Amino acid sequence: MELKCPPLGTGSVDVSALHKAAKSSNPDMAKAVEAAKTIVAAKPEPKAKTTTPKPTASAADAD
Amino acid sequence: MALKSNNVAIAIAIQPTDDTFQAPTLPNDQLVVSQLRPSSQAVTIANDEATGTPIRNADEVAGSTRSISFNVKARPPVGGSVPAANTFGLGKLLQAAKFTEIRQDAPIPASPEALGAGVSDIAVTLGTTAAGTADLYKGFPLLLSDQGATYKRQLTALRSYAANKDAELMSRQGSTPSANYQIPAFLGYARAVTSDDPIQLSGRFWLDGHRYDFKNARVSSLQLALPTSTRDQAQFPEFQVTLDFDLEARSEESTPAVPSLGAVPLYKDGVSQLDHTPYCTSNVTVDLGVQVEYPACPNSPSGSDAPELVGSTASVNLTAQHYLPSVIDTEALAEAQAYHPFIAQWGLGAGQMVQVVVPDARLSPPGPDTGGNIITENGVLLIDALDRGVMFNFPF
Repeated sequence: MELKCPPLGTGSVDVSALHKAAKSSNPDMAKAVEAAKTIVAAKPEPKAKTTTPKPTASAADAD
Repeated sequence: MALKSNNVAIAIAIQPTDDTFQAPTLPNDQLVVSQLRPSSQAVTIANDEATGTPIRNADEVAGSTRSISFNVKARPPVGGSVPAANTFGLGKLLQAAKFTEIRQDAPIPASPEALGAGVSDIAVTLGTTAAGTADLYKGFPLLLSDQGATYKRQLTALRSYAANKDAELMSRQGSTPSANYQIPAFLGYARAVTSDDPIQLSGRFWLDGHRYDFKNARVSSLQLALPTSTRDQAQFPEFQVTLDFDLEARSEESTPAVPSLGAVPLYKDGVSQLDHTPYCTSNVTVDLGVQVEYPACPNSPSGSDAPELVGSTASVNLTAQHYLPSVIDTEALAEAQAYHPFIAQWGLGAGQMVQVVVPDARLSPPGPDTGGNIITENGVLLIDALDRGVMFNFPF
């Protein structure tokens, strides 16, 4: 099977490392791309924001 | 004392966490820019409540949308070598516009090496040191030792790279290369077509002592304007950028000193080729066609979450000399709708060069313009969602 470099995606890729990995025997290029990357930080998954819940009425309040 | 518009500065940092301000550090995160123009657009809603008179209440102010526009000269990183990952200011902007940063801090191979067999003036076969991995070096700069005496004459780029090490060149060479090749050390930015989100930015800008901190910044517009500097007039090649952002804070702080970065390479004495044919342009604009949207969220102070990059349709607008069909038949190229390479390359030497590489573009029908003394044509290169469909390279 023809060896192919996958899309590089987001981040900073060190090609020298990628080239070195590609020269090894049976390289996994997808893993090599990820290993050659410097990412400042991945964006966290979006989470539903919540507001602080109001305190529930106590028995004393009800009086 | 009035505040002065040249006494301004901006610094940007990669924001690792959504909605959390990341303070830039000086001087490393500082950007040298021109035409710094902040903008604040009020968001209002007409109050349609009846008042019992013809007189109406004034609009209600819901908030404001903030953005800042500026230009960054198309100048390689200073210092003469490939900078550390994620540190080049212009590169952070390009990464925020969905580009991959590609760093090659040492040439491949370390010393120029003999080409393989099977070459022509637009194709070469790389030698033994090159890896047999298709697409690995696509879009990368390439030096061919027998194509002139100087670095900039020997420099071209790879349009494609196959597993058998066959490579098509971006530009037609003056003769068939038959000596050595080398992929120089370089810093590159390649348009990525993966589904992951690009980085967000935080930053600060100073308007003569008035400091604004911003977060959740997205590139909402990014163009490279590439005018040719002629014997009659010279213009800077520059990236024109707009960031949409959320305001984090304001304060009073003296504008930091802005370093001088030296001469900017001008677009002349370089290479401009379309479909492997010299194509003389007066203006080139690479437009990334970025589209940003703010998702609605009533839990946020502004009513919107941080902006998201939701689209980018890239194109290259060209104003060029109009040629006879026997030279380059752009109308036939447009009719065929096949992919063709476009390269713009300029600069002075190693570490002072810039390449714009578009390996595969379709042409829209060019419009001849006889309005001036020279017949020109306005064309558009259409860039599909192909990996590394646009690259900006700074070879060293």
